[in-house]
Parts: sequence; C-alpha cells; structure tokens
Amino acid sequence: MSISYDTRPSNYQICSLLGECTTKIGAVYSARHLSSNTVVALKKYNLEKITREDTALIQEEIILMRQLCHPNVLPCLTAFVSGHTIVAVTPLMGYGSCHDIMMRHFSAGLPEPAIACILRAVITALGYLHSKAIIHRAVRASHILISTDGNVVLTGLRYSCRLLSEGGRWLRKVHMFPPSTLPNLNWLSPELLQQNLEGYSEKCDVYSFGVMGCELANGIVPFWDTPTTFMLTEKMRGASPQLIDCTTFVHSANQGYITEDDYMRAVSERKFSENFHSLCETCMEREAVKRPRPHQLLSHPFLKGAPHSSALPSLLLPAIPIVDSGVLEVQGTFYYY
Amino acid sequence: MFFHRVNSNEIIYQARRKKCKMIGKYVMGDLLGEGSYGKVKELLDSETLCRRAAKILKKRKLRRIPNGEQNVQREIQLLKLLKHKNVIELVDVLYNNEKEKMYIVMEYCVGGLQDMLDSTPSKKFPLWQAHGYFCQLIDGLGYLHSNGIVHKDIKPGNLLLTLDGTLKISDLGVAEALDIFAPDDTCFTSQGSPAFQPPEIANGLEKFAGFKIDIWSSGVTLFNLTTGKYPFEGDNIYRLFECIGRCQMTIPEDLDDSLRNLLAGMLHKEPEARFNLQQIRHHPWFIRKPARTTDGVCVPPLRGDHLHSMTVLPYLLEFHYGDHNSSSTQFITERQLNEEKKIAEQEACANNKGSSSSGTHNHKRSWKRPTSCLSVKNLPSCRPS
Repeated sequence: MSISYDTRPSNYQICSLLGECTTKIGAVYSARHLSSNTVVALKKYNLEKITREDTALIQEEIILMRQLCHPNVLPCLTAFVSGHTIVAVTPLMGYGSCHDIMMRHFSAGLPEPAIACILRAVITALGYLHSKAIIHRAVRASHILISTDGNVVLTGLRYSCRLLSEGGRWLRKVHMFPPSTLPNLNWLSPELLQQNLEGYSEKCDVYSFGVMGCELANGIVPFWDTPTTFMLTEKMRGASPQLIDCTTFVHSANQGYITEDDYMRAVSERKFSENFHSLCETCMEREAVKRPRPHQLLSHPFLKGAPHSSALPSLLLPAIPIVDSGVLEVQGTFYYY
Repeated sequence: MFFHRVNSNEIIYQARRKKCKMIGKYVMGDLLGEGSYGKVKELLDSETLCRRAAKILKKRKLRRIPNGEQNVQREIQLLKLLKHKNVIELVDVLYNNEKEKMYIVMEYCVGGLQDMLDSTPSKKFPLWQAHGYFCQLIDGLGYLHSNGIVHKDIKPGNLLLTLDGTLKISDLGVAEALDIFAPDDTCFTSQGSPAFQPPEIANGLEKFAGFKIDIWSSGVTLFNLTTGKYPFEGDNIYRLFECIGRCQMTIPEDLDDSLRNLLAGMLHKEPEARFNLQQIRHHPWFIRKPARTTDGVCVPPLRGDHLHSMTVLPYLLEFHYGDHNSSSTQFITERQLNEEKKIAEQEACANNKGSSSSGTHNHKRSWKRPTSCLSVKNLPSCRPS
C-alpha cells in the first residue's frame, strides 16, 4: 500500500460510529479517505473531556504506534489535531475486537480453530514487541482486532512500557505498577500484581496471553465475578484459571454464579484439545522463568497446527465484518457499530 | 498445690490470626515505620490493587505536639496541590471520628535513604548512586521552589524510594508555602532538623531567605551521602549551632575537586553567595555522571523480607480462605482425575521399563485445584463487577 494519508480533516468523511475505546475516553468511527477513496477507522478523543494524564498516554501511544511496523500490530497511518479533538487514523478492522465478536455471536467462547489462529498471530506480535524491549501489559480480547480478510492485530499500546533504563540500557526487570491499569487487572500476572522488589519482565505478557486464551475459550475473562482481592490471592497462590469444558466443568447445583442455562449446557458438553489445555497451563506458570518465550510458544503443537489466517472469516461465522456502510442486518435486527 | 514445670522452649505460642481490617476501600497491612507524628502502615487499595502507605495520626497525640494539628493540615493542603515525579504523592485522606484517627494515604515507598545509609558499614553511598539521588532531589526541589514552597526539612530521612528507585521528597510537615503576592522568599520560622540548619538560623537571625535554606540542607545531605559524615557536629544543640554559625568545616581531601567545589558552593556561609538551583544544575559534578563501578547499596530488608513483599497478603488469605483451608471444600474435576491417573500410569510404565524410557512428554504438571466460589467472602467495598 503506497497510499499516503494526509492530515487534512476535510479529506476524511465520517461514515458511522463503530464504538467506544475500552476506557470510554474516545470514539471510533469508520470514515472514507476522499482522495484515495479508501475506508479507514478514525479514533477521536475530545481534548476537553480527557485528563492531562490521558492526553499524555494517548500521545505516547500514537508515537509508539508510528514507530512500530509488524503485520500483527495495529499501525497508526497518521494522526492530527482538529479543533478540540485528537484524531488517529488506522486501518479499518472489519470484525472489530475479539471481545465484540464474542459479545455479539459467541457468548460461550470462540471455536477452537479460530482461537488457535488468533493466538498464533498475537504471540507473533508479542515476540516482535519484546524484541523491541516493549512490554505490552494489556493483552486481552478487547485489544485484539480482526480485519475483514482475517488478519489479526494487537492494539492497546497505551498501557505498554519499555524494558529500558533512562540511559537506554536493557533492563532485566521493571517495577512500576501501571497507574491506569484498573480495567486490565484480571489479565495481569502475579509478579506484576505483587509489586515488590522482584519486579516483572516481558514474561508477564505471556501470562496475560494465557488468561486471554481462557477468555477467548470461555467467552468471559476468568475472575470476572470474584472480588478483585480474591483474584489477587488466587494468582499469588499459583491457582491459575482454566478452560471450561466437560473435563473441568464442576457440576454443582448451587454454583450460582453462571446463571445462563444455555451457557452451562454449551460448556459442559464441549471438549477442548489437550494441546489447548497444556498451552494455557504453561503460559500461566506462577514462576515467570518457567514460562516459555513467545518464539518458543510458536512451536507449541496447538499453535503449530493453527489454520491460516485466511480461514478465519469462515471460522468466525455467523459474525460478518462491516465493510463501509456501518449498518448490518443480522437475523432481522440492525446492529449499529 | 502442684505446679507443673514447663520449659519455656516447650511452650507453643498460637500464631496470632491475621484478622483482615478495612479502612474505607483499603485493606490494612503491617507496620512500615514510625514517623515523627505516628505510625506508618501499609495499605492495599482493594479496587486498583495498588500498594499504598498511610500515616496514621491520633488527634490526642497531635494536640500534645506544638503546632501538631496545624502542621498536618498544612502538609495535606500542600500535597494536594503538588504533582511531580520526585515529590511524594498524596492519594487520599480518611478520618475515623470515633477513634479520633486520621489516615493520610500516600504512594508506597520501600524505604528511605537514611535506612539504607544505616544498613552499610561505611554509612555512605558509592558516588554514582549518590549522584543519581542528588539529581532527583534537585529536580524535586526545583519543582517545589517553582511552586513557592520552601521544604525546610531536607535530609536523608525525608527522602524515600519507590520500588523502581525513584526518589520522593516527603514530609512537608514543616514546609512553608510563600504567599503568592510576597515580593521574595523571606521566611521567619524554621522547625527543621538541627544538623541540617544553615548558619543564618543557627545564629538566630530574625528573617532569612527561604530557598537558600533548602540549598544548604541539600548540601549537608550531599555531604552525608558521599562521605558518610556530617559537615558540622556538636555534643548538644548549642555546640552544634555554634559550629554551624561559624561555618567551620573541612571537606574531606579524598573527594574529587568538582564535588568539593559543589559542596563548598552549597555550604557557603552567606546565603547570597550560596549556589542557587540554576548554578547547581550547571555545575560540572552535576552534569557529569560518575561511572557505575561498584554495586549500589540496597534497601535493607523489612522484618527479614528482602523483597519487601505485600504485607497485606496474609490478611487477605485469612479473609478469603480462613478456615476453608481444609481439603473438604475443594472440588476435583474429571480432568484432574484423568491427569492424576495419567501421571500414575506413566510412572508405573517408567518403573517397568526402567530408566531408558523416561518418556518424551513432560507430564509433571501440578494440578491446581480451583477453589469453590461459594467459600469466597465479599469485601464490603468490593464491587462485584
């Protein structure tokens, strides 16, 4: 692609609202770039409504996105300030985030082949970030976007940090507890949460990757229904979340926390492969040193056997991507993205 | 009457149960230290899971300290306005009217420079480490001064470190915010630590330039960090002030010339001739970072814990699992059973075939049993999201 996206606000014609960013400080629109007649996504932040800290985070995120170049990391095509809004232009990701897909079509989790395909792309992206001394710190389904042709990209770099000292030396560990990490707590690794002098390394992303594996499979993130402090003690004891299928589902009449019967039936009848179970388990080792590195995980049988990303659209049916109209008819109801 | 004799070694004391206590949304942890006005305890924010520290002040005790309540209120007022990497951040202030207690919640620090100095035999830091702290001190001080605040109590004991080694200027209890319409930084009072006071205060001057007090005490601090000694000493406060008032000091010969020059500039008897922050920032010693040749001094362990782990955790464990630690409430799933069976079979297999076929698969997975969610108690202020 050699289209150059300019910074003239008038050259982007907004088509429709796609949704809000995770922290609800910005809105995402689909828009047409008039001079090239291509469709892009615009992330808009109203400077008057966001705090100074948020502004700094958004600025850092855009700068970082402009520096990175990897097929599985969402690029920032250009960014500009128009009136009171910051606008970041990114490619349009037709399927939206994995979280969106699950919310709309797969409340009990995605099919296993689709998960394998998504996870392989994400671990490739993490390997790339780690090689640039970047820790992502917010690997979760809502930060995984899928394009119309099935390409999977990682976003959410707002929460990332560098594994470098101020003098540019490569650090073994960092210690800072991310101040804005509240929405990501359930995905974070025990060594990041424990906040002691041991610190944490890029391996904390591998743990979050495992938690996200469970999230994609179960349709909901582990610990979503428990008190935050209980999530902490569970992780500190080394009790790792699990994929829920017929081998791990606990039949208990008074286990009232999942009330949807359809969900119960779906999870108690299915069975995930042994490879999938083992992948999640090895990623969520309590000790960071025992967790494999991203490039080692690529040769894990579960990810090795993953289908090609071109197969993803068919695996994600009945979910269908938006192309440019922004309004879709699904089973008789209109969904406004 | 018969007394059964028991050797004191035989007595088993029952471990005190770690009863979980909440202050607002914060879970209470162990004692971190004792400040000048009361205890400092660790807290955990139960919503963000961020570690915090709280100064716990008792109103009754405060009333007995001269200007106690006033100083505390002033510190809160000041901290609320400030936000800088090298100045301690005030997070929250909570009151318990029944117990007449006040909790000043601040960001968590692992320790102070004074504790670190005390933990080494030489009572000093390697040059590169002292340089790093000094630069951060000057940055923080620059911020305070630009906001019209004179700290008045700069000393190693008031310089704290976060987990990542960022220095935080703390304890603004005796600090003074200059009036925004004041023509200059003239101050009339000082309640700082004697050993760090400049000659103009030791000599009892009625008024003095505020910012230069902080420069002086930063100079004494730098002297202390790099040499392990104090520039001025005295058996009692009168002797000490006499010594400071005459400004008689010797800077050790073994320090390099640029550091000696910087110390002399910061510890100049005349406030007008004393370096200002600008001069310090442009000083050759400040600009040139010493090589990192030796290991740095670490934060000393807290009650034997070198990692300074969360002290709130035992309380939370007691709260969430308590008496449920017995195996009766655990569930065993089919997968766990299969897994255990498989491991058993493999072991049996390996034993039969001898050591040659120890298996290509690594099945030494430890099964972590999920706890039943029923035994989970909710913290009162936890949102079940």
